[in-house]
Amino acid sequence: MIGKDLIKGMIRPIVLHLLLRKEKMYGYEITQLVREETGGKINLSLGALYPVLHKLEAEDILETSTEAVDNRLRKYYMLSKKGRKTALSKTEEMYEFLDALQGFCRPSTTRNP
Amino acid sequence: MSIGPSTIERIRKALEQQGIRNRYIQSELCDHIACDMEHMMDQGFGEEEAWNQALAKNRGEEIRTTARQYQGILNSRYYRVKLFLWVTFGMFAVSWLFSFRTGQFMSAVSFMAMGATLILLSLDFFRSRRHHPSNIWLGAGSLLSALLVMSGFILFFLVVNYGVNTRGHSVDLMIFSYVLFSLVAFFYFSRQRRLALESSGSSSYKWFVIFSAAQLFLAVLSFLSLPLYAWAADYIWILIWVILAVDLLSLALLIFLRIRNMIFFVLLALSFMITFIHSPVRRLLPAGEPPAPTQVAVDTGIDPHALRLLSFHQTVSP
Repeated sequence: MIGKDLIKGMIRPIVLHLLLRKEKMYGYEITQLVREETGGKINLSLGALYPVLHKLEAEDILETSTEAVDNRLRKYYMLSKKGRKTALSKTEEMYEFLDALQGFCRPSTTRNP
Repeated sequence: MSIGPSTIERIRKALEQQGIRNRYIQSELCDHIACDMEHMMDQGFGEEEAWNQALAKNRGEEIRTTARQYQGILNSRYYRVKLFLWVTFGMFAVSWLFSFRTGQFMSAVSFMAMGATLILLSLDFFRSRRHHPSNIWLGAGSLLSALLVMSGFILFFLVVNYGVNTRGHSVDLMIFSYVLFSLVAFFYFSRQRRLALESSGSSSYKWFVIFSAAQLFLAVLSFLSLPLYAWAADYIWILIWVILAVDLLSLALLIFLRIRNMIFFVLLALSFMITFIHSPVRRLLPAGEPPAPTQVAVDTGIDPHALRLLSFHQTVSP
């Protein structure tokens, strides 16, 4: 499993990336999808995910709607108009970062023994 | 597999024990923990085992920090409304407690600040229209209420300082504003309470529905006193005292019950300010002088119902 310190800076682009793929999601759904798609390597805790969601909401990047589901209220998050642009650029930035990181970590064929 | 209302209530109580009382934060975290339990139960865990595991996973400093951070974000969202409300009430109190001989200029500013507070609330309703489409109507109601209270006080200011005959329209406009915002508040709290009941959650909205219903009732009575002035003239002082008493009592109860809501505080301030400037109580305060008797001008030439309440200062001649 990947450590919290490494995941921390990636939560924002991960959330935005997921919301680009799926129109609206709730907190627990995000944690489950991230866990499934990373084969359990990235495990978003409640304390890591929600502050990011709330901050994105406060910055008007995310919009929310509340629905009554199974005896309780469920808060759904979705991208705002402004958020869609931000999500696209952040996802692009994430790909670049991952490429750069991969290039940095891959054993170079040109490197001297 | 979904969990029942009693378990939801159990989660809610567990969150309350951890000091998480804000209903927005509570309902979101409650849903998260409930989903976690349901997920475990789908994997074959018993409800009690799922409860123990979900609670062990989602408690402690991490969940409290999350709640604190969210509370901070919510507070900053209403920071400007809160600031404007303090300015409004502060200036209003000072304008009547101290006589600056500036012709109620400060009181005028305080009513403009009240209008600005209502505009901020209406913007907040418009921004959150995705949550509930009815927020558009609530936003429009708040905005109209702001415009009415501001224009009403401008007329009042002209009456008080320049003796302009506004045919009592300052009272009309302010009472319209009071009725409209009471309606907005009542509709808002009823909706929120209905949503809370659907989720089987206990809710402090019950109190706000009762208080805003009382305010709406008093506002409608005030409104009815306009066309029925000839009949109600002798009893209006009772209504004024009742409104002031209800305002103060509601405020005391809210403090006692330790429940807060910015929309309700704005409604209380609006109701108190409008009623106070038309009440004889103001004459007991230093800036209430010279005395401002209430006079009735009967305009029999135009309309038999055109009985208007005119309130203006009389200059005391030596």
